Amino acid sequence: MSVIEVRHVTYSYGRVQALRDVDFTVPEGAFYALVGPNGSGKTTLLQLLGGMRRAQVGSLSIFGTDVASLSLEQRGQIGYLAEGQSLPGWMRLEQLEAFLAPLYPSWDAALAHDLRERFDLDPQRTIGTLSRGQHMKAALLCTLAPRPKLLIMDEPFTGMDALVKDELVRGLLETSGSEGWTVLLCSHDIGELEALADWVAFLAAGRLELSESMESLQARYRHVTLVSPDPDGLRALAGSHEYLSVDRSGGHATFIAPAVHGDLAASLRQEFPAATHVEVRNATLKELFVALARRSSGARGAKGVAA
Amino acid sequence: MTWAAQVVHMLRKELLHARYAMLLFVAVIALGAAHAFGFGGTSSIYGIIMFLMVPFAMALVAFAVQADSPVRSDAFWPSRPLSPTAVLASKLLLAVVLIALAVAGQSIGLAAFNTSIIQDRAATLEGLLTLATWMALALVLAAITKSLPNFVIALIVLCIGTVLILNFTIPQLTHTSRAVQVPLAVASTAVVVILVVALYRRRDPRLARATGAMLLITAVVASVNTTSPAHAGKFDAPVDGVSVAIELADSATQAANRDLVVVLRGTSRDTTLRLSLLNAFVHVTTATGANFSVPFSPYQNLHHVSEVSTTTPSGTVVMEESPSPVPMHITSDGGTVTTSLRLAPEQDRLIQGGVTQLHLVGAVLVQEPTLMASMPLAPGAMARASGHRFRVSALADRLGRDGLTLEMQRLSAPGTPSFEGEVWAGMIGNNPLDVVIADQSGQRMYAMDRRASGTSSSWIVLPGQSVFADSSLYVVHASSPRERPPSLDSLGRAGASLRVFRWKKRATFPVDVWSKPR
Repeated sequence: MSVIEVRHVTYSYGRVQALRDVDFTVPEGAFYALVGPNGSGKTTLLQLLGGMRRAQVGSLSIFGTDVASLSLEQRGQIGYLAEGQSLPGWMRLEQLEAFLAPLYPSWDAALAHDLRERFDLDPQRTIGTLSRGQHMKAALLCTLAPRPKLLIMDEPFTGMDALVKDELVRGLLETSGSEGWTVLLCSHDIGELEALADWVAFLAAGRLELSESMESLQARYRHVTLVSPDPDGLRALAGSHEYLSVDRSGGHATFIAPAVHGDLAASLRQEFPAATHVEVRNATLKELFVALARRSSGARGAKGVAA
Repeated sequence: MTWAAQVVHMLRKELLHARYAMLLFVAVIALGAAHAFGFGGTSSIYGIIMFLMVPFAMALVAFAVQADSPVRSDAFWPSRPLSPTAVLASKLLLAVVLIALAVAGQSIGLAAFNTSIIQDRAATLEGLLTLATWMALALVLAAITKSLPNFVIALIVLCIGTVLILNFTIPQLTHTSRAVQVPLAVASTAVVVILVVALYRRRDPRLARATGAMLLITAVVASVNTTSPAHAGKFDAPVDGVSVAIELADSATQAANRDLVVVLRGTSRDTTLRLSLLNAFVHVTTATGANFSVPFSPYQNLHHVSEVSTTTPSGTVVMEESPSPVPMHITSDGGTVTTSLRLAPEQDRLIQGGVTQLHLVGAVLVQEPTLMASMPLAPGAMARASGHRFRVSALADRLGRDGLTLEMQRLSAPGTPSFEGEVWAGMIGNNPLDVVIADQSGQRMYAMDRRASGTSSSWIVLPGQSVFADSSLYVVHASSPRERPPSLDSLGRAGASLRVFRWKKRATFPVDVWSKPR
């Protein structure tokens, strides 16, 4: 069952199209990572799902209900956290918790207290006086304390120190796993996402380039390192449309290659007979992200040249 | 949580947020109410503070609305299980609380004036409507803007836009019948309300723009309804109990003398209420085809006016000193306040050919109890009048006459051992003026030994001399080097505390001003 369904969504800021015909689903219990370069439309998409904006074309539904028609009860089961989201700066943290608690039947005061302790947040502090990182922690506390069934998070790790980030990642993994939360998360911290995500979507220039499980994605691509004493032996890589993110320096080249049936290393040795060293391993999410981003910007660049 | 519970929950948050500002608001309202009972004397600072309560209340509402903005994508509330209409309703309730506080202060203040229940209700309703209009305006503008500076800019743009549109379209709009205009105003207001609700529900920037445009249209339509000459109250048929009218003082005499004394007359059905004529604009058309407006306002320099004088039938005249010849307030404690201004052909080439038409563009008359008691915002009964036109012809080639008026008023409370008084001398034309005040025995008590060149001046006669307490102040000696016959009729009487004199060179006049025994 899908918790989130995004169907052919288009959104424009005036003449600038932020999202173009975006279409994907997030299955229940998934930890879904939304990645893409700056300006690709990630935040807009999450704002549409969080109810901050309304889609101009297409539809978005959560728990099977159109986002615009979600009941208050359903909204209470969604946690939305975004970098730059303004909390009431005049409130003390304890006042903010007291304000939010009655809105959520599922508000877990013990969890709120636990998170406050873990994040080392002073309940007497006024929100407006918190540092950026503390502000983010407070926002996270307010998002997690209601124990939402769906978490939508836009850059939740911003401003957090490494220790807290690590704790949070582990906490999120544990909690989402044990409580069956569905998480849709976008972050520039690809390394953290790799540890968390089991699904991934890639947005570029408002278009959804891919949306699939991490397992499937990693099965489709391999990271390859080729070493050749003769640099000319690797020249064929330069114009290849098959390989992504090609980095060639003399007789050393790395790239992302689509996985093939059979032995990829053997087929590469056939293709590049001069290569003395062929190493094939699973591509990391970061490597895939860079490769897809390059391919995407290259395609746009090519279109621009053609135009 | 039910919808109603959410509204209350949000309102509690608003009140907690604005608690200090609300306390200040309540304190100032209490101060205004106390002032109506006599606390704080006659200082005009109270009036200013009270008037500032309007923008203060608007800012409070704007701040609350923008704290949970429907147009900011980083707003906190849309991602929470909060009903958009509950959020909007909580802001409306905050505005209602502010209005209720202001109206309560007004009602308490009105009690000081021993007004009737009908007057109380009328003033309360007037104050409530005035305040509600401004609060609603603040709420809508705040909903479509993202910050207080933007809110202020939008407010200014709205005001300027309304004035500009009215300026260009009023001839067409004013020919529209009231049967069309009123439903139009109601309909446009309803559209704004619908748009604001939709904005909260959908949070679409396009709706914010549409709301702004519709608000401008509503402001124009509503303004036409209140400013159209066709709808303005006439002198003989006061609207809301008060009205302003324009008249010529004595057209036959003026025609012969080629002077033009324009009389602005404010009236109230209730003669127990004090009136203040704050400002007015008279549009003058001359025989040469020139058109100009004469601003009757303390904030304008009057180039075309050589004299302003005031009379009230029975009340005390208070002429507050101001940089211009026009007093800040012209207040009467009776039901009528009349002010005349003399257009000076000798001073202005524009009107030397004669004035052919006068048109009272607008005037503001304020009923004092409402003003004093409720300043929050309810300037009370405001009358606008226009459309009174007079044709003037056959003006003779004669310079303006000279004359002097003196008015004396006791400012301190009766029965006090000493007093403060004010003498106001009005001079027609630009003639030097000496005024001497002496007591019963002829002893000079106070001399205005500077030579005043101008149309009016006022001096405070300070106490400190016990002779002032019980004795009569008798002698007023005024002189002008130019010998001319008395020129002004009595400018009115104010019971025992005021006499206005014909002036004759070096004559003395008994002034039974402060003879009332303690």
